[in-house]
Amino acid sequence: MGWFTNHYYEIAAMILFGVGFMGLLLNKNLIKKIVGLNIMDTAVYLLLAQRGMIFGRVAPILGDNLNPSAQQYINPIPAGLVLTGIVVSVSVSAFSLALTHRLYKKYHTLNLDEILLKSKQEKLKAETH
Amino acid sequence: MHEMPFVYNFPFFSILLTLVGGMAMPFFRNGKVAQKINIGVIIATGVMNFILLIQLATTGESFTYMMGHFPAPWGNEIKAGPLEALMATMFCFVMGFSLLGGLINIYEDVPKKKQYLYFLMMNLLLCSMLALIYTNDTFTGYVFIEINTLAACAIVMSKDSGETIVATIRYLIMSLLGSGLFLMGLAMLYNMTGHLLMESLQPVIVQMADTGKYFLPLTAVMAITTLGLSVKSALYPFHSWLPNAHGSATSSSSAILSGLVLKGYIILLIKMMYRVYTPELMAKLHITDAMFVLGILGMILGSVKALRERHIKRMTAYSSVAQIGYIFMGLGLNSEIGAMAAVFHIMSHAVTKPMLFLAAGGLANVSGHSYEFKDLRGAAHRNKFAGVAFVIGALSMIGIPLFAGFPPKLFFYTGAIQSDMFRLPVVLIALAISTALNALYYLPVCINIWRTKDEPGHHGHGDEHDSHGHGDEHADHGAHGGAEVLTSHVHDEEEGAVHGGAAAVADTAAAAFTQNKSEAAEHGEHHNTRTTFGFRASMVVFIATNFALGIAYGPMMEVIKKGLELL
Repeated sequence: MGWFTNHYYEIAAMILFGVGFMGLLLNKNLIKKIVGLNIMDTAVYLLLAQRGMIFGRVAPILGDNLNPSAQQYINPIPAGLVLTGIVVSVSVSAFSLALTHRLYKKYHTLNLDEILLKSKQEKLKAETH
Repeated sequence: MHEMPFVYNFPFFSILLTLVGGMAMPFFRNGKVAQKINIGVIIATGVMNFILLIQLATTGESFTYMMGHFPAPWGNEIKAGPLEALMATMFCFVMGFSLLGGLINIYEDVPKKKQYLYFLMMNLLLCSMLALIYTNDTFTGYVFIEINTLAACAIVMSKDSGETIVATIRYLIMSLLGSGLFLMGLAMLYNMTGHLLMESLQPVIVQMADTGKYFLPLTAVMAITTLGLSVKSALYPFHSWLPNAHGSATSSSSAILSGLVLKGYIILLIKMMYRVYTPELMAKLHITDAMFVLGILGMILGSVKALRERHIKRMTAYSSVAQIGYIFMGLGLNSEIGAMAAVFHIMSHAVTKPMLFLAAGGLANVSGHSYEFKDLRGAAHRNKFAGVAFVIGALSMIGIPLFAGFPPKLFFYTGAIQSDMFRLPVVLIALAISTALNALYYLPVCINIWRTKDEPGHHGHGDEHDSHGHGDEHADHGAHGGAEVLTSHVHDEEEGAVHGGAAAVADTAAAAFTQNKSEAAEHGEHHNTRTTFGFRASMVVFIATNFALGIAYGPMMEVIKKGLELL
């Protein structure tokens, strides 16, 4: 039990990652897939951010602290990674949403199976014409 | 740091130059200008990397380049050795000639307003691949993987049709799964070690493995990152996105995606393997076993899928799945020569597959933009350069001596002998089966495209395809339906200079387009205007490179060997 209470962040991150991964992989709805992608990325940020945080310490900004020591600060790199990751995730989501929008305008559905079916029918129609 | 030779700046310069070149394009909003910038940037980076390659291959050393003068455990680094310089040079070379060979198709397939964006994406693609090759930092690797994904998806969907958008979304979803896995692997790795730089990671990982307590997390991390990169490089069970994406895009996009983009991830994987995890540890934790098994499966099943295709580009795309299988099999051999052969195969596939895709595009251009086998009959007579290039590419993929595809197969055998007793027979059998299958699906296409054109008088006699026979019988009725549309073309052409080859024109998807063209093509020589100087030049260069790699593989293997040692 102690192990679980000590590691609840990691466990939560892993569960979220699984949820997001499966959502991206198995959902048929494109919007839900993109939501899954975001959950998956968020899980990674949670894992990174919790590792970067130590309670009682602050971000390494000098401010008006006159005699700084390493003991007062946290490692800023995980936070930097999370920020970079968020930027990447935003651009990827934007691209996916734009693509989904194009598909919706063309096929009037968000269901990937139906889209595949319609595009196949379209191709067949073009071939028989 | 002051005595650092000037050429050591070149990796950073080339990444920056490609990025800045891309950023400059939106100011012009003009496809032609963007193309000039793009070609200029590719030539400049190619030359820089070539100079670096010569320097590093002669001195036989590698160097790390600090970004922003933050020392090792904190800063971001570039590391370049002979292998990286070789790969970067080759990527610039192949990308330049793939673009040159497919230019007409780019201008036809991409809407006019978006042409400059196509070249922008090419620049970003080159930038991200160079960064993947040179970076020494795993997280930088992740960021450039995502840039690479977006740019690659953009060049697939640049040909604006429902088919390509659907292919893009499938490609995007699989790619995002792959990069998500890679990112998770990196986060776990960072949690365990506190490092992101490849060279700082390795000692910690070796130390952890030596204690013998951390095999489970290490296996998980290795499996997740390797899996992520495998999904992105279309290793066999994760290849489902590839045939659609590569089969429907414009020729240059297919060439670059198949020849280079897949390889960028594999090079990152090789770097992770040698610089971070060490091959010994990967072998001990059975990661290489998994790579070996999936590689073998890919070699055979990818070829089987290719055998069933009747669409020349999709067939070539499935052939890529098989070739990626070869590369992973080589990496999974646990032997020095196996890895060298895998790297050589990256190169030989990178010069062969773009040639095949461009030749397929060239053949389709003279067959009414149809990629179906039945329409491509005799196409090589209409576009000789494409025909010769396709045959040479096919022979190279099969692994005939003198062509680029032969040396890696030879070294896969040698590597298998070095490897353990279980792998040797499997490799021997799989290579034999896969080679036979390659021959089975490539040779009929080669024969088909070189089949003599049917004379109008007796065409349709030895012809099993309905559309042809049908077309001949009803040559005077200009009614509806596929065969009839075809017929009217045949009829038109019989009135003009009789050119039986064009009778194979049966693409109805682009019927309007075809009509214009067959009108323009009443004279036989008008077909040749379809092949521009750029196309012919790129075909000749690819053929020459193919022979060069196939004959002079000795020195190349020396460079690769040195490069892998210094990685």
